Amino acid sequence: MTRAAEHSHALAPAPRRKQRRPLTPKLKAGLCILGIYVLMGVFGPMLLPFDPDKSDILSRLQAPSAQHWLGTDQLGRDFLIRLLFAIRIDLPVAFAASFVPMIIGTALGAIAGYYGRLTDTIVSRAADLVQAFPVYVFLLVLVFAMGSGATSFIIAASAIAWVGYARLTRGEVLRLREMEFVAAARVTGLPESRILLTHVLPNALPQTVIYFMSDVVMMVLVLSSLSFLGVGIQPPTAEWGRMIAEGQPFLRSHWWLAAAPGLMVMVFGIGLSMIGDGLDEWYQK
Amino acid sequence: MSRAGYIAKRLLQTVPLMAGILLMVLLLLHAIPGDPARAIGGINASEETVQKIREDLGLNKSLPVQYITYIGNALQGDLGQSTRSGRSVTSIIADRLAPTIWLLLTGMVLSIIVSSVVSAISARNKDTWLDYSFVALTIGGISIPTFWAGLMLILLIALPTGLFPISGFGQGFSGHVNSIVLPATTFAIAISPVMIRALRTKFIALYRQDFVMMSRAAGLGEGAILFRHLTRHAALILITMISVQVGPMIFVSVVIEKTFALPGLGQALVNAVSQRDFPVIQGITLVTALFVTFVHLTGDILTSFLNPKMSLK
Amino acid sequence: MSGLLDITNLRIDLGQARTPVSPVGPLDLTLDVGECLGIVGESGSGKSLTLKAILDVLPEGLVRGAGTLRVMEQGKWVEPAAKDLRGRKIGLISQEPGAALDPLMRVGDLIGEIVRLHSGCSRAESKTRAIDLLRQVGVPDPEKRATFWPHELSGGLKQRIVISMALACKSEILLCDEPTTALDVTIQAQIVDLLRDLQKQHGLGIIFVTHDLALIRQIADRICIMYAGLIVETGPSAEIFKAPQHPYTRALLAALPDIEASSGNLQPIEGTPPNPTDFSVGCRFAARCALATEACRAARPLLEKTERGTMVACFHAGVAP
Repeated sequence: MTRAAEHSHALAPAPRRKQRRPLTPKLKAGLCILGIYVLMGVFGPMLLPFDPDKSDILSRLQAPSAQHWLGTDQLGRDFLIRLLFAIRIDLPVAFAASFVPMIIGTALGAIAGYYGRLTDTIVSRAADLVQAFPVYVFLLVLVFAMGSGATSFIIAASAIAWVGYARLTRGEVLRLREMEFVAAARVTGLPESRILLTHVLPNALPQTVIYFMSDVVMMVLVLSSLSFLGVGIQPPTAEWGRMIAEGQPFLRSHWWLAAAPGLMVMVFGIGLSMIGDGLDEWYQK
Repeated sequence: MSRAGYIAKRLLQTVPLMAGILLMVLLLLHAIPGDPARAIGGINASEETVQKIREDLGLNKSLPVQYITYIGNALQGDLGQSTRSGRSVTSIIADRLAPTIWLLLTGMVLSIIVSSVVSAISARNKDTWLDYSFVALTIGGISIPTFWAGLMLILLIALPTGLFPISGFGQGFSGHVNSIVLPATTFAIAISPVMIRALRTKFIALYRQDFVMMSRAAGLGEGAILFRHLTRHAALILITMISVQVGPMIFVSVVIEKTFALPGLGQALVNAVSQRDFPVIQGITLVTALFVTFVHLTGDILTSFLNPKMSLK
Repeated sequence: MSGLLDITNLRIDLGQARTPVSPVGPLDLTLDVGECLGIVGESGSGKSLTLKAILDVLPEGLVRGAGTLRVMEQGKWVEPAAKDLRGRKIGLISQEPGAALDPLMRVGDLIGEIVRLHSGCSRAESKTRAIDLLRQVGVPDPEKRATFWPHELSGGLKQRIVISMALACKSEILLCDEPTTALDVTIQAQIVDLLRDLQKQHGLGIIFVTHDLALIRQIADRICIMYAGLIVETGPSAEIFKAPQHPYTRALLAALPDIEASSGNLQPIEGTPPNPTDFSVGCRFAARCALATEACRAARPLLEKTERGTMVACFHAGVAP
């Protein structure tokens, strides 16, 4: 162990080294589901000889067959490859739409909580204002105003979702700031910014990571909802919410067109929820 | 501080919040990249049309002037005219209000009933197969897209049985009731899981409290403990949950209105969005934001009555 | 003296353990009319669980595994279900008066609820009875206090409310689970005085659980010393304080300063009590006992009568260390 590591270890009770602890069953199952989605998204479309976006009106609305395992949609596109292709849209966009606000929110919350005073007032009032809106309706309108698409969605989500992270981090930092190991770090003459970065923030991180997982689930749901409403990802790009909307008119005859994309969203959400819950258990052990 | 004083203070606090809300609604227009008037008019609009839009929306004036004008008009109930139909936004909103209120109220009531009952049963039978299956359903429920749940209800209930209409708001009271069943159920599927999660944790914690043991020791039955004591605590959590969830609730209702073609505010919003009808979008956003503020305020006031421990500061 | 409560072979089991684990018992307890029985032990000795087991209000995961519980009812021993005893014959007073009262109900309503439950009287009548009860337990200005929320009262007043609830229906037995631990010293004395007064007035039988030996010496007629879920020594308070026989009792008393019985030099007891899952077949105190021999580890000593009128569970009873 190096001197620096020894030093920080003596001051901060956590984060402890967690690697040696076995993963909980929930965590394992969740990671498996996420892993399968990533594999399906990366390799799945390569194995199928179809173009996900090219329509072929003559072979529209076919039932599942040896050639098209899940049949074709209303424009004659292979349904399976579109389901898999959508992973490449929904996953990265949802992760980005949670990750960017996580960085912004954590930074703002940490500064507000650690330095207090004016910074705290500004951040807290801004958070109040955002929360006074029905946030996801606001998100919808923002995406529309900026023009539909993945980039608009990520920007609009960041403008709104930072609040949750800021509240969480601010609370944690306020709590940790008063703890003894922080006082001890101060005595050693470390600059405040270093104490915040190396001693306070790492201890606030577990809660943030758990919240991030639930946020990604939320963002997949919101993204697919917006696409369902016609505001999110635009056709012809395959996206689960959009695909459900396109399947709605054929509910009587081709129910799977609407059912399958919803299942894809649900199983993905369950996987991430399990990772979140599992991490919670794991950290608490 | 007295409760009346607290309520007065809480009301006063909403004034700057309202000003902030109005400012953000106005600024929505300026979130449009480039020239908002051109964007609203569309690519094919003539220069005169664009100029007219600019004047109608007051975009040719400075931002502070726009803001003050907007506040002044809003206070008089004037939210501008639809750029499509020319009707006043206020009357459009008034026309569309009923289905949305129906949906929100029935959906909320159903969610509250479902989540209270399920979480109480779950907590009372903690760590049994019943509890585990409720928990599993909850995790699944959190991950279901709302509109998909609605479509599955149509597919699995409405289509096979023919009992419920799959779109529209029906005629008369019984028609409304009939056509709100599936949307309200969808609402509950979307909202209950989060509430069940919070309430179950709360109930489990409550059952471990000393006062529950002491009530048992004093001879109180489980029913009396649950209904006379724990429900008060659960009600406090429910109020907080509804305050926190009101944003998602409104979004959920927009999505449900689209799924079931309910002619409510959400539908109007989605239509306005697809027609780039900005005054209507602004008006509906404003109304929903006011509703959120109202729910937060009501929640805080109710809490101040229910929780004697809350400091009225 | 006439008997009031008679418990034999009481055992508390861990609910869902694969191999049966019993943190408490088997143990026997008796209580006479107007008697105060003290149960003393370290935290974790199971003294508090024993009280809760009497009313079957054990925390989740624990169950009353065995034991018969009889009470004297009009001159006859009967064996009622725990739920018929709660609040009628036996009242419970807990350690934390702050946590014992539902924070969302006014104290008058809390007492009134119990009164109504057992007497079936009207709401208005229960209100006056609640105020009477508050007066009985020495709450000043009871009409006004009845409208207070629990958090508006001091710890001492809250404990008086808890006592009034335990007495609400003329209980004959009060189970006191460290009722003064959470209170200031001066308030402690007041609560103890109140309990003694009530005991005299109503001829109550009291079981008083505490780790405070000085307190128990003041109030208990008879005491039981508990260690790791078992009674290791029991008898008249005066006898036990004068001449403790069990090594554990002696160690406890030695840990107490100004007591004549102690040898003068203060010694903390080395080690910690065993975990219920690690209970051995032998004497549970053996691991910490200076006198322990092979016999102590091989078999558990049972309670045996001594010539002083006490009972001790030790193969080396009375031997000076």
